[in-house]
Amino acid sequence: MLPTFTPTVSALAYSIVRTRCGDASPLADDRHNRVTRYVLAQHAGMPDYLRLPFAALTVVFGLSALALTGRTFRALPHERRWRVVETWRRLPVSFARDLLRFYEGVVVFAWFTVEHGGDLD
Amino acid sequence: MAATSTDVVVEPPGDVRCDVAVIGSGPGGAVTACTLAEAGRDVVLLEEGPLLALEATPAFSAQEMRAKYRNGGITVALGSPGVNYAEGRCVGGGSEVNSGLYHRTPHDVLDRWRLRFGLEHASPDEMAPHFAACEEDVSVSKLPGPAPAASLRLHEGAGRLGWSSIEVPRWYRYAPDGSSDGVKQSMTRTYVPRATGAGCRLLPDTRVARLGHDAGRWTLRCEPARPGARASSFTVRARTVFVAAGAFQTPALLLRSGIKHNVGRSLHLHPTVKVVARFDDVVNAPGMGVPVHQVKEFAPHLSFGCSISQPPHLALAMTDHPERISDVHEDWPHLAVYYAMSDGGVGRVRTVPGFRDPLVSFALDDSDLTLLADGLAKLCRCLLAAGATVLWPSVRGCPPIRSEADLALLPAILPRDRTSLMTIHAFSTCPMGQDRGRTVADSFGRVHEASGLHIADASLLCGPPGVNPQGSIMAFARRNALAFLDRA
Repeated sequence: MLPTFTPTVSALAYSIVRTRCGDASPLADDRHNRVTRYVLAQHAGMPDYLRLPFAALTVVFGLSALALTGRTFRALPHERRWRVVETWRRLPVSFARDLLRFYEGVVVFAWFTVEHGGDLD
Repeated sequence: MAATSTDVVVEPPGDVRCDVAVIGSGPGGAVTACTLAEAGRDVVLLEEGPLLALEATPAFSAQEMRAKYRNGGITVALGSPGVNYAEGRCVGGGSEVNSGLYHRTPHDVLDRWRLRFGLEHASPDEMAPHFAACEEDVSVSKLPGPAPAASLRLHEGAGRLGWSSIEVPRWYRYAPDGSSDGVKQSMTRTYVPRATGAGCRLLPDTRVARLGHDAGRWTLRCEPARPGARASSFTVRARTVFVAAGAFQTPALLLRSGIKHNVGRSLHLHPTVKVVARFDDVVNAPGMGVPVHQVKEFAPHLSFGCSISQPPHLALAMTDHPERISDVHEDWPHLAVYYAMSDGGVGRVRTVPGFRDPLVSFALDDSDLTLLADGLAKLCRCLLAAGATVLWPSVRGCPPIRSEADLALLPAILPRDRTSLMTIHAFSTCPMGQDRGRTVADSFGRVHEASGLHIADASLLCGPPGVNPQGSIMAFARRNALAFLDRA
């Protein structure tokens, strides 16, 4: 997979859980890792013509933080990460919103599955 | 009776010969394979997905999505807006993962297909025995006990407005004690074990890459679909082939095989927009059954119903109102997901050189989005009449609806860049009928330009039926398989 893809997905998953799902537990919590693994597995199972473009766009998203803040997305504290997310959400191109909508949907579904006693594997 | 490993050919020792090959084991393929095998034909049933028991994964769970759905359920018809869709990929196909709601094809829909596509011998009277036989085979029945509260709320709301609302039967076998617990009569519980019991060979985890025709037989180039199971591809040779791989994979296989006339050009879906409703009293509970009521006042163009509403589904439906997602943790017993389903739009299925998965696109014009917006407004009105106190439509940025006056806040046309649409119903990519200008197959599913090649799934349906399509798929598959036997 493309370099920085997995760390960016992991960081994005953590931020979505914290912002959208009302969770502020320590990042080392195994639930976050399970959610991240699920997101990566879902990405790996995508239709093949979408898989690489999505991965590339995710890497571009992660690197855009470098241009916006001087640090990569995964290296940012949570509040600054979320400002990058909001910046992307406001971009006038649908693929930026679609990217975030995909991650938000999968992460939220996985997190609520875990939190309400379900399994992801 | 369920399919067992003893019925299954896990790794064929070499090339396989048979009289009839059926590709796909969903409702169309399973009924076809069973009908032909029980008539004494030498049948091979191929399925790209794995053989898993119905109870192998919890229904409607994240595990089920990964194990039994194609692409883990992450599939989208590209467009503006795109439409997320899901299709089963396991022995039994969609019947293993759907809600089991059953309808016959409405009479006016059959009439329309006759007039527009030249579909012959498919009048309501001619179809009736096929519906009846399938209904008996899969135990179509109504709930013996009370429906889930969230389902009843929709029904009550419709009643207060004077709208038609029905309890939809399901293919379920219920316990004799009258409880609402039961077992879904999916294909792995019914037609697949009947087929294998009659001698049909079942090959799961087998992808058919391409069809060819040589010396009076069809050759199916097959690849193992389970990683690491088998190193090499093999061939199945058959006099007759029924393709029943579903509305996306059937046209993709035909296109890969050079069969192109009208194939994949008329995809229809039931585009669906959702609403999360909150009630002051409790309407949801752990293990809440499948909602069974549907509002049919505006059918066939609009239908309303209640969706699976477990906390993960509620949270997912709330992602267009992200500030409220975390409320689902505590408030979910008061929440349920409802939908408005339409029949507008048209799309295409294409193959892309170098890629395995078909490219699916779908176009909704302004009139389609206006129809959906009208459906959303009517659904909201029904839910308010049912006692809902707040409604969150799956339109990003749309304010919550709390009263009849708030209905004016809903968009008159759904915004293309802020609306989340989904569907689990797809059809019409290889329509049947005698009008060769519009169809891929004749009125009995025989592909016009390929002798000995048949289609037996949702692809054949000439347009959106406006109802859950599995009943139509099974009945047409049975009818067409019996016609094939009569001709032979």
